[in-house]
Amino acid sequence: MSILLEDVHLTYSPGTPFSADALREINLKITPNQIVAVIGHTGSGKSTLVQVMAGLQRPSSGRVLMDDFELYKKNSDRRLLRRKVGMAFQYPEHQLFEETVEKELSFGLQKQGRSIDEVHLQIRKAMGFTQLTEDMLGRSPFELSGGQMRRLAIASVIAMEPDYLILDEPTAGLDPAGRDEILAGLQAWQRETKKTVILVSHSMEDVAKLADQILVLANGKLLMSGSTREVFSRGAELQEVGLDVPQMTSLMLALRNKGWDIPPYAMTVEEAYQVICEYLGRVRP
Amino acid sequence: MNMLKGVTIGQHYPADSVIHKMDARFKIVMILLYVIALFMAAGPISYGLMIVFAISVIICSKIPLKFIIRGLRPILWIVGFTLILHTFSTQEGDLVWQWSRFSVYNGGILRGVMMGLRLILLISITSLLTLTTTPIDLTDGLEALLKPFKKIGLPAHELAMMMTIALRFVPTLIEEADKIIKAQTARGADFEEGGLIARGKSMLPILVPLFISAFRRADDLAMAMEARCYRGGENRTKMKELKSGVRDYLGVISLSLLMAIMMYFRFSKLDSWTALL
Amino acid sequence: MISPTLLIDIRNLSHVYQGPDSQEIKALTSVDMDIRPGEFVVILGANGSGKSTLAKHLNALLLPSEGTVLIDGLDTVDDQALWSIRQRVGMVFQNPDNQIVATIVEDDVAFGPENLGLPPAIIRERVEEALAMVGMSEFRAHAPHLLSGGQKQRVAIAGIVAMRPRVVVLDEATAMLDPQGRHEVMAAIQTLRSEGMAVILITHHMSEAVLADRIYLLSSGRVIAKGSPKEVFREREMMQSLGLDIPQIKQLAALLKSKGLIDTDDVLNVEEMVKQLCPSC
Repeated sequence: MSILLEDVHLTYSPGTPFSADALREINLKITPNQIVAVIGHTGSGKSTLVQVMAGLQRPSSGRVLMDDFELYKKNSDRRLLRRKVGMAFQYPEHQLFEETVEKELSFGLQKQGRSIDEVHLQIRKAMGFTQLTEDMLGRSPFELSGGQMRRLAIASVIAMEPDYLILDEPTAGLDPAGRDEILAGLQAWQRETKKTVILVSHSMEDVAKLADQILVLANGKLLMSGSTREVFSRGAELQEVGLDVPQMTSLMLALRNKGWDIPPYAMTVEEAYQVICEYLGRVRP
Repeated sequence: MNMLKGVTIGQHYPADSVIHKMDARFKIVMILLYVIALFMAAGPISYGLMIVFAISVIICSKIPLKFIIRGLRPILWIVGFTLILHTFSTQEGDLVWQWSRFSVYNGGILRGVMMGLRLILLISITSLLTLTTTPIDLTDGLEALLKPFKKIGLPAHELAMMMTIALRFVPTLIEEADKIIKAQTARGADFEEGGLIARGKSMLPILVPLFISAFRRADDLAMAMEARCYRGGENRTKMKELKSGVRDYLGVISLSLLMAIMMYFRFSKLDSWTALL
Repeated sequence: MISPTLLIDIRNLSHVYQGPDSQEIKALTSVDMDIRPGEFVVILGANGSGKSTLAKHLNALLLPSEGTVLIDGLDTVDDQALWSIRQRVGMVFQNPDNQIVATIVEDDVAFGPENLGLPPAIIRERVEEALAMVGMSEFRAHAPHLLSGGQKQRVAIAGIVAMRPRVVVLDEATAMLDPQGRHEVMAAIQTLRSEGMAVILITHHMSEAVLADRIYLLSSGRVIAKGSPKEVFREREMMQSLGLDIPQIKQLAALLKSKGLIDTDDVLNVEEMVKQLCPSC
């Protein structure tokens, strides 16, 4: 059970003066039951990469396999693909269209031919993870606030319970409260369903808090892939390709430079606080 | 996104040529004159002249012939269809070929070729207009030509503004449609199954968000335009003013001459296709 | 009493509108604000704090339900003054795409001056000047849909600058941008300031607010704090509950200060934190 990309290349408009290499020689493997973050500078190919994984963008060459199911083979089973992977694009609330929240949530499930009871159950599960309430079901999606619409759009994808859930910048444009809500919901969903979440993000702080594994893209190539700690301990390389490390990690590195004997990373404010307290307690009792 | 690249009508091809530098108002009028001349051309010499004119304009525009030909590809099937239609339905001249109910007269072939040529010339010349004129110059030119009609209530400036905004947002909306289609596909929406009604309904997940987005954009844009002191066409100036020059007058005169020749040939019947038969 | 040195003078501004269920919603209550020429002021608040509503009063896109808004002495309710006000107060909005009107960058930057009825040669000058100011001169002939978010916003800024306003208001202009775009816009703001324009930035990012001369902190339609960044950010408990984007370093500083491990929580970046933790290093 995993996602496998073998030698994937993608060139837009090949053979014309507008041709552009979006992805080059991508070889990667994503194992199940974790949260994977895809980071990279603007134009590095992040969005393209996750669309390829979601079966929505055919690569120019190479293979994409999901649990041994080859996505882009001729006559591959589209329905099976849709059950396996779900995707939420940037600003997913721009894709809402149904008359009621309930219909919006049920859309994907009905396309999958699920029974009314199943739909009922799945919708409520998804609502639980996205703080949507029963009284919203009969309302029009367009009456909701911006943050609620975002949660609704994501819920409609979660409701389909895909094995692989892909989200392109799910917190883009949200205020801190909205961001925390979405990320907490995604984390809870992943912990309970033990499925795989892949998210594209620009916030190193969000990534540090949530991700188990990180894929770093630069200029269409996979620069590095590894656990969150591994990747963020290579701060200099990240900065070379226009990325940053989380602020707390930055602080740890700066303190180490001053001779502090502490780990070279901290993923959250709490972690940094603990490390500093422990160090100061040791050194200045 | 790829569909944007193959279509040459509406695209602009930047180059430093006489044609590019011509005043948009004159170019628009010249297109009209050419089209009128084209419909009056009635024989091989006339068509020959029209073709020579078109080719010389293309050469002067410094746009590679290959590019123009590539732009003709989408309409090739219409040309072919026209050719076949006229070939098999016209009964002029001598019988050339027959097979059961199908008869082909050389007059029909001639007519088919003529119609096909007309289409090709029409598309090429109108493509040339957009290829050599920036969208803003084009809308400015239209606005200027329509200004006299303001007296009878035609909103020339507003029409031009609408055209500019539409042209500006077409690529943006296409990108958005692309994204929406992918997003709904990811939720299992299918746009290829079912009969006419089912397919119509399946377009809702794309059309509703697209329309809502378009309205939202319009709202935002109106506010932004107001914030930048837009209040319609009154007392508004333009950074790029259309300036006519010698080459524009030469252009119009040469086309008027062409038109006159066509008219003469037509009405004097000095040049006609039937002479070939 | 109109103070001639005040660029923007807002007294007792309230804004009431009708909600979806026909109830009265007070978006702003008794707001006082003054802006002087050349100042960099941030209006800081979470979503729903009323900051965007306040912004729209600055160029008469909205009119007061109570109170007055004076721009360079001109009253926003005065119909005749509308266009003078909008020339003085330029506004850049949140959505980079939905502000660009023309099919080519330089034509869009020219839009504002064209509306002002300036002669073509002057417009041309202004456009060049504005594009240079935001670093987009080489993109003058580009189509806008091919630009990145940050580039589009810079074009929008140029379009405003070309009208030679006295104030540039940026209404959450970085909200839809990635870090690189955000950086580009903040850099453009610094250039505007060096050219003598006042800048009013509406945001919920504390990291952007720390660069201001003064901050107005909004919550539920009221100004609950105002002053220099140091003064406003001193009240930490309030900040946490306001739903603002507080940099992690500041959150850490709060924790460390409460434990007595550092002297002050007036720490805005990594360098300052290191100095606090290790003064002798």
